[in-house]
Amino acid sequence: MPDDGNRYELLNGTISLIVTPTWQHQLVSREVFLPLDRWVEQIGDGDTLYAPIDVVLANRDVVQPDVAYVDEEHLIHVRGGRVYVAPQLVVEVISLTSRSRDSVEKPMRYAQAGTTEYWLVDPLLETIAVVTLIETLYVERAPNDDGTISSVVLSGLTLDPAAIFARVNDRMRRTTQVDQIG
Amino acid sequence: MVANARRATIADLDAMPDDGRIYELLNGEISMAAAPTWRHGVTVLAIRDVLHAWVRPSRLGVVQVAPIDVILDDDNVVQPDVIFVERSQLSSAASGRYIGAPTLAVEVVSPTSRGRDSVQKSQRYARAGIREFWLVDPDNRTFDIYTLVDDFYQPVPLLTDGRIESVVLPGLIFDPADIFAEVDDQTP
Repeated sequence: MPDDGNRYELLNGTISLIVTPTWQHQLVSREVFLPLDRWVEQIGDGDTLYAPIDVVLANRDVVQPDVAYVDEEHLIHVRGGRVYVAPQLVVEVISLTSRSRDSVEKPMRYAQAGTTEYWLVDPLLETIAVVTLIETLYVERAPNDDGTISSVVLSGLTLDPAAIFARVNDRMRRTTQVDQIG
Repeated sequence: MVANARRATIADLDAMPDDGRIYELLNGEISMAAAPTWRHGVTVLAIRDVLHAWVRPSRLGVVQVAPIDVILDDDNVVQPDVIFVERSQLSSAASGRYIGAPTLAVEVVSPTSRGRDSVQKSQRYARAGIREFWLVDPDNRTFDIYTLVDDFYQPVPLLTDGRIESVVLPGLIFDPADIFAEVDDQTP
């Protein structure tokens, strides 16, 4: 593909163009990434990165997760600038144009490749659904009683979706908003 | 990874109370969902009507709506909102439940189950070999049809006029906007 500044993904051998994310999408992505990154820094095991970064799940599947965590032992599979292993944890933030890919097409492939934990962040509903791999299928982890969510891969890490979206909404209020979630 | 003492089975599912909630078995775990909302129910019936109107005159098969247990395997018993079973597969329902993969399954998502429905169900339906999957979100007015290609669901593109055509029921072409209009008309 041309180096034209556009981002592309390959799913089942089909190339698709990724639409540039919106300010809100990036705020959400950032608010999820920051505590993850801080946690990983603290435990000193692996690295967390945010899009765009190519993750090669299979010959016909090259994806760009919004946030990906690769533990220390698998960092060796990052080579030539690409990730050639299923990240242990992947976060996808739903946007208008990525909803179907994030909720149906990509999780099937992450599961097959062996990504242990998948977070589906829904800015419209202000929810974060956590699913973890049991054998080859994802099973939803219910949120904690207080509404927070806990990671299985990053054991001990707990996030509060309400606080995350409150921070996003605070920041969005300083922008000129149109009636659309991107 | 999971600290369950033991895996739940179909027998455990049968033992759940008849309290109006929806119980399913996902990977050996009992999963509970609240009874659906008015809008959800109206959407299910609108979709059922479209399918039924198409398959009934030619007796192509049977359309069913939830609650009906679909036993995908010993660990996964689900209740899709609507299923279509082609006539040659009807014997799979002889026990009173449907055993195996229906030809088509429809999930109408509600805000609280959106993540679960789309991620968990699509993956299980694909693995079970359900050839077509409709994912409908009446709150956000999205209507997606997926077809099984090499064990993965691939979205079926809209026709140029905005309508969409089923793959397992070729010739069944409709406009999702008409379905949502029908839903709006019956929702307070």
